[in-house]
Amino acid sequence: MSEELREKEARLFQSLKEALEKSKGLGKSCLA
Amino acid sequence: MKGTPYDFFVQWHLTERCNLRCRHCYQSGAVSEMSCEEICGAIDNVRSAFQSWVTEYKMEMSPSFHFTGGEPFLRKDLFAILDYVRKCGFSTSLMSNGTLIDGGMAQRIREAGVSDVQISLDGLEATHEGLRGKGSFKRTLEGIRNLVAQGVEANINLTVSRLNMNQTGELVRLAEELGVGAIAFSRLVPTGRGKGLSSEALTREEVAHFYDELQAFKDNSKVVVISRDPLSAIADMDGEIPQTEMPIGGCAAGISGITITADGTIMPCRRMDLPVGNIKETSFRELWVESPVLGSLRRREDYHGGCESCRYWAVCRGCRAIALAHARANGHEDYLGPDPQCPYHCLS
Repeated sequence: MSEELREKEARLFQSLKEALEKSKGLGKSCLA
Repeated sequence: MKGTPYDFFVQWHLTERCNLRCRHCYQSGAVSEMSCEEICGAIDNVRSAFQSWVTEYKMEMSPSFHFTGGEPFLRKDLFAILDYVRKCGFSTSLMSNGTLIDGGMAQRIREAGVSDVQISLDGLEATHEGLRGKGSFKRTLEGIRNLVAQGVEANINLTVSRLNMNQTGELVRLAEELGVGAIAFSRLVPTGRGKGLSSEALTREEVAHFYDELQAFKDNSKVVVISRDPLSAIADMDGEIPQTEMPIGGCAAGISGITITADGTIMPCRRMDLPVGNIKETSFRELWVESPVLGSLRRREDYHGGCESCRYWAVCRGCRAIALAHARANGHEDYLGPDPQCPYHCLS
């Protein structure tokens, strides 16, 4: 994995963690 | 300290072969199938991504694998695959039409440690068989009864259209009689063979009416009544609406789920026929970050036609598969436009 991609991944999961904390979970999923 | 769980699911279509030919199916034809060995390798590929997310970003993961088809029981190696996933430590579920689940099969499912089986039921007998074929209703109900008798959690999933939208009360009562864990409702997506039923898709007004009616059943039924529709997040919303940069609910495409088809094609959602790679050729960890399609599904500014300015964006975003199917019917390749059935489009 390139350094650039790893940084992008780190930003993605940071945003996701912040959103999860704020919402206390993703709610229900929509399996097809 | 434990964080908030990241409930990631993999919907895995092991085959497109099926013993039924449902008129509303989102699949349209057979493709080649990965071997059991290739599937186990692909599971390792996905597992490796999960392990990285846990170790490097301290994500509290609770991933699950949902195997389906076509009809998954047509794969002779189904239980070997389930066994492999279970040994990897993941939860497994099955999604089936139920018609091949006799008593012996139900016992094997229980012994395989499957957490639940989602069975498709699309209406009362005449409606169900009009969509799925003669004799299918009784066989599906027998499959459900066999699962319940073995103590396996069975859940019903129903694809909502004008053909069955007025049968909710009777279907909830049937679900109660059968002893299932839940009955869930999803909107018809006019893609694959389902394109032929476009005229049976609900209007905005019908969607609003349907969710109003469903709410009463959620409050007054002995069985759990669920809507698997992103729009239902709005209907169910109570209190403050979370405003976050990343989506936190609603449509799972690009956020908390992925679909892998029988030949290894990766899609954001099975009903959103938009390949983003192949699990046999791609690192899933890298794909999850670098796919332009998955990336755009996470960015509010990439949406248009209403969702981008809606206060419910983070918890809904409509059904991206329906948005894409609608755009394609009008000659556009666009999965970020409006959900044409959204009754809340004015709530910006």
